[in-house]
Amino acid sequence: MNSFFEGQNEKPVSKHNNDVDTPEGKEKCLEIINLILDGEATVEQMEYFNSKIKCCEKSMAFYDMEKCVKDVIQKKIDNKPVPQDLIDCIKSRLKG
Amino acid sequence: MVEENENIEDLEFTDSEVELTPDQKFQKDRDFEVEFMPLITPLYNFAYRLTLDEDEAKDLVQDSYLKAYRFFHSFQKGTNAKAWLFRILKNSFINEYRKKSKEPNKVDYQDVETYYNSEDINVPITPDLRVEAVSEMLGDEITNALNALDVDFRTVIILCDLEGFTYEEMSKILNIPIGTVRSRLHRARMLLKEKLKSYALKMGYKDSD
Repeated sequence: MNSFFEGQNEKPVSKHNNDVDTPEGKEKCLEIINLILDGEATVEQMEYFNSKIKCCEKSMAFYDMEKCVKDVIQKKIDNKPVPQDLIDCIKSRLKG
Repeated sequence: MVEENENIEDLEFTDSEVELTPDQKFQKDRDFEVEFMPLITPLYNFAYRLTLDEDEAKDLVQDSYLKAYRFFHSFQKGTNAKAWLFRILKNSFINEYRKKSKEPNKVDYQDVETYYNSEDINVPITPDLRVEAVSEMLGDEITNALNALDVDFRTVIILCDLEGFTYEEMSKILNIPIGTVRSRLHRARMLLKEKLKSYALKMGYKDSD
């Protein structure tokens, strides 16, 4: 797979990779954006983001969407409360 | 980090601990409670999001705590207790609960991953979804879209976006290479956006086109 996912630390980033009108370019753009949003991008990928993606309107629309999806997952999915009987049962079994 | 405790993956759950004195047991119980009981809310929610069933989630969490207690001697203090516990639960889910899954037509995960990783894939990369449509969705709609994903894809989104694990921690929890974490997460998000698009269309939002 020709991707930033593989060998991301070894491969230099092409300066012509941000052609988001092609499926491959769009996918690469999204890969970088996800790495940035997850805090997992390398210095090189951050440089690519700053120099190629930030100044591209289409790419930034992808960025906005990826960020929005991540945000709604974090903010709108609630935790269920832990049933008290589960806590009691675990504590009781650990003591026994 | 969970490297120090990665042998938990291979543990056969047989009693291996020497008998403790009452003082040692008291200390162990106290340490265990301090280290692991505060993690019960994220662990229960992880279990529920895997099983989508409250009773199964409770069984899974209980089993995981009992295993963690039994193998507490192999946990190194100061390492990532949450990742260690999540890994135990994930293994229990795969080994014990997933076998008896009620899902009749489980997706062959390897097939899905191979398909999405193929070079000649020719499907829309991103659904034409509007930010406004997603941001106005209700929590239940987001939850339903997430729950509609195959469990392997659901899991990586839960671990990354809801629980905040790093790729490296996810790699250890799931026992897969970091590259697979990255690609699985990427595909999971693509699929999630397709689900969200379906919800958005049902809600009456138009595509961005």
